[in-house]
Amino acid sequence: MRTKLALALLAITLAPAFAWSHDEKKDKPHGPNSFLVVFSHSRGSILEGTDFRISGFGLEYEDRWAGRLLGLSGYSLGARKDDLYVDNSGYSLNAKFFTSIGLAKRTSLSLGAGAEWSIPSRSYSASRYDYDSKGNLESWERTFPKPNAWAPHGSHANSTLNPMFEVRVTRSVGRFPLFVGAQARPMFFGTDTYTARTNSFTRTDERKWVFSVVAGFGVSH
Amino acid sequence: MRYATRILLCIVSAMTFACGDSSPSSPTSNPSAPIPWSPYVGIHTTGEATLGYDAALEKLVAAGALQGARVGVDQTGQALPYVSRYASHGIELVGIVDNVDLFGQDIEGVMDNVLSRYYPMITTYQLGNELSTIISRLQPQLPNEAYMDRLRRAYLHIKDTHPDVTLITYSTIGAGNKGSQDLQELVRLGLRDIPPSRLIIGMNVYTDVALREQAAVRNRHLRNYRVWVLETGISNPGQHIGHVQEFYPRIRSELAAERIYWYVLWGGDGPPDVGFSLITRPQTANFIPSPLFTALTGGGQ
Repeated sequence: MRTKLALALLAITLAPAFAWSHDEKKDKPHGPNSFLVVFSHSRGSILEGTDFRISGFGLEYEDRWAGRLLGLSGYSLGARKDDLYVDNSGYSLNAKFFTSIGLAKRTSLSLGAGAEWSIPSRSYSASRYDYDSKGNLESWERTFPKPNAWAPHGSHANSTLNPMFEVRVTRSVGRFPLFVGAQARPMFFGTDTYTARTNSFTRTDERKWVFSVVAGFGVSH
Repeated sequence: MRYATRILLCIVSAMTFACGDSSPSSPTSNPSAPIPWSPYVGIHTTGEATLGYDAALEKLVAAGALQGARVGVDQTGQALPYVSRYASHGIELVGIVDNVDLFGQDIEGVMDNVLSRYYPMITTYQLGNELSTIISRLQPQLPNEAYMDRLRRAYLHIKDTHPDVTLITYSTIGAGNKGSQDLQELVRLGLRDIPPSRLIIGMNVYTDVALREQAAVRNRHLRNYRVWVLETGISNPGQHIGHVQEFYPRIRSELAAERIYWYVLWGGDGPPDVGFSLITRPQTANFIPSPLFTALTGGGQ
């Protein structure tokens, strides 16, 4: 399985190069396009007493237009793999539009908004159990990213679709953009509680903001 | 844009390729880490292993490593002497009503026969196990439609006469996607007509994909139900401890499973299940313990 994962990551990594080799032959009627490598990290707690720490690696294709359209500067398409050591969850695809503001020569601030479709990292799921002094279960509480979208395989029930927002500062060194930034996703989480004494359940659904820091580099043309 | 589309297609293909099934097949044990054990095991009901079972159960209970077991029950009461012997160790039992007993139309009669022999010693009954997959394709099958008919009627039959009896759905298969698909089908066929106070969702979970997919169905359709994992394990005794250390916490965090039953106390002394066994050669009290059994009992024999 690790071999398959490695091959998959290799394919993801080589995909932009494959596409670019054809792209170079064309005239470019708009602003620079970039292929970016993105590293991300987020941490937080959905269920009190349980923490998640999620690191990810992604690739992005960023298309900047020559001018502005409805105040927007371009769009980006990306894919990210969270929890690299886990091969069956933590996959996401995202698309967003952004607007850029020049801060200094070769430095810009981008504000982006879009959507992310993912099979979320299992690290978001957490449970907590309470036992009495004799070891009998008194209650449990669990939280999980609430599935709200179709998935391409399996039960077709395990994916999520959420908005995402991003702020990013990019500095270009020649053809090579470097950036740091932050992302925010208002994700839908379900939280269920079971109380053994009354054999009863309570459930709540709420959106909670998940923040992550991002950094990366790339190449433009 | 056309290039972006091509890139995305490559990425999606690669991601789909990577999303294969995998068991936690090479769990490495950490000798210094605690063993996040759940004190439940499956026991194959048999008279052949009575001496070994007695000795093993005594050790597990004495070590605080066993509170309950899942055993086979029958309509005739042939297994009753053995099941009573397991219960005499002070553990709580779940009785599996055999798949074969679900094929007939008279599920009410089946429940009457089983309860007349095993109740009140056993108050939790699982109707079938891996029903859609364990029976050879060459043999007659019991579709999920027919299963839901049996489960619903069994519930209606016992709900007033035995208000303290809880039913468990058949354990969906613990590898790949089939288990989650069966579970979704049961939901579609009316599983949620049976109140959560009287029904527990049974699952077998041996692989990561089965865990993820069954958790997805639980998250989407079965939030108001309790989940018990009635089977998990690994066939290499050298990896038993690693499996518990690595996989049990994930089963808990993703499913909120209240109980996790190890498969199995003894799966026979030959293939296919010998490797899953906590003990082997139980024909005498001098059984051979697995490393996990030894760790759980603080020294084994």
